Amino acid sequence: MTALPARPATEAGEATDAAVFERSWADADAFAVIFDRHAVAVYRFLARRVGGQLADDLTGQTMLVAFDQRRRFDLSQPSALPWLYGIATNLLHRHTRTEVRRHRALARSTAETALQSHDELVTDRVAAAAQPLGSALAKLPAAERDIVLLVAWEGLSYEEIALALDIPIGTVRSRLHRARTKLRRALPKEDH
Amino acid sequence: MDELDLLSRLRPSDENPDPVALAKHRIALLNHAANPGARIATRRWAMPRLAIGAAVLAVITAVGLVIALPGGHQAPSGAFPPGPGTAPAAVVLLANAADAAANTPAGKGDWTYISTVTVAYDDRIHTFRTQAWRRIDGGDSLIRDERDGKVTEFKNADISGMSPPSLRNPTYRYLTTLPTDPTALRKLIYAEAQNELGDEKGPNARQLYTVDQWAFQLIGRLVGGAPPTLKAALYRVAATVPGVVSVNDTTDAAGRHGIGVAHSDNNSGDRTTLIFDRTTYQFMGSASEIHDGRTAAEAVLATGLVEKAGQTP
Repeated sequence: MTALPARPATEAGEATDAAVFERSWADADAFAVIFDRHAVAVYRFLARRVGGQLADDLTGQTMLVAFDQRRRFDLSQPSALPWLYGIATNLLHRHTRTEVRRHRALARSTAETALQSHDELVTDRVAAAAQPLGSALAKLPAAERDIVLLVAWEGLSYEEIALALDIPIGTVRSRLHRARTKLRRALPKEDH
Repeated sequence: MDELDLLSRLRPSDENPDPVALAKHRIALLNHAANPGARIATRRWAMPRLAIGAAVLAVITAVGLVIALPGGHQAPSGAFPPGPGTAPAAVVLLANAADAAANTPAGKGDWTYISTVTVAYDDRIHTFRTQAWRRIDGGDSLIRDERDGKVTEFKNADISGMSPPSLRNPTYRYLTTLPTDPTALRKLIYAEAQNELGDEKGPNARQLYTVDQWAFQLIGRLVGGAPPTLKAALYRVAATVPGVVSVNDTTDAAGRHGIGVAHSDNNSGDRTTLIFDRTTYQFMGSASEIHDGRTAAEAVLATGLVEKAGQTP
């Protein structure tokens, strides 16, 4: 299983994201801490979906929007990253064409690490699945694609996704279910 | 393996952001935080893609690099009110200083002029004023030194043939050939810092100094005599050195108050501060504090190009 990004752990004595958010209500500069903690992760998330070039721009936009909406962050959440992914996800909707092109090329862009496996059979299956999955991913409605990738590529839980996208958990489940069904149908027969 | 498994295995590997672009976003964020009424500008920056090493990335996540691009006016004028109070964050300060430097005329002539007041404390306080004229291609120089009421002049002969100019021994003309693109300049400075740490200081150097400390020192040494566009670029690079902090209020060697950006010199607690005018962001000079309390500072009173040695701008 590919290693999913580790959630940034707050070191002992360091303020939690929630504490920083609260401070930023009165002291705007404090929000820079959120940038320092999460901008790279946000960039990587965006880059996975639309590539590095566009991710540069969108990272900046995400953090600016996050600042403007900082009072809306749910202080009971341990990390701001899912919430930031939510903002980034919304910004991605303006760039569907770029994203879709990228997913269609999934087979070509797949990095070596993703195909790491001692089991040749596994490697072969992954390689065989790349193009059909990439195509199917490109064809999904944005809302379904958002969720399936937040699960498969970002390792978010249903609760985190629900909070991040500000939708009910039931909606997360049903959209994920629909996405998975379509992806499954696209796979070569032997993987069903 | 189900479809979700397969999809996870197809996850693109982590890409690394361009530190210059990231730094630019951080400064945009801070400016926006200071000026929330302003519209968020979504400008298209055509950035060259950099190959980034893990060490640099670690720096980004730990500190948050900031840089403003040449020609991009990220710092709104008047964003920081004059008067003592909280100085703008180091990175924003340096961006303002860069804008100010870039807009300062270089002057005209074949000689550089710099007028300084130096204060050094060791056994006692030494204060002296210096006026220095140097040919832009490194030949003759004229130094006028005034201390303890005595004025001495030194005329130095043309030694330009002896060794080619370098970052360690630059001439003004050499400095005009340096890249003013902050990314390229940063690479150059860090490469030089690595070199200097490597061969000159011996195997213990890396325990005493970090390359960041050395890089900041190098920047500080170059700033005083640098042509305006290079000065601006140096400030932008300084903003990306991890560990740079802003200083609220400090006094220079001439007794003038200013704001500053500081960085540790080594791992013993010594520190260098670059000082700027609070309202104009012009460079005022630098100050060094050694952990045992001794200090040295140099205030820049005037600088520029002149036609002849002995002239002032």
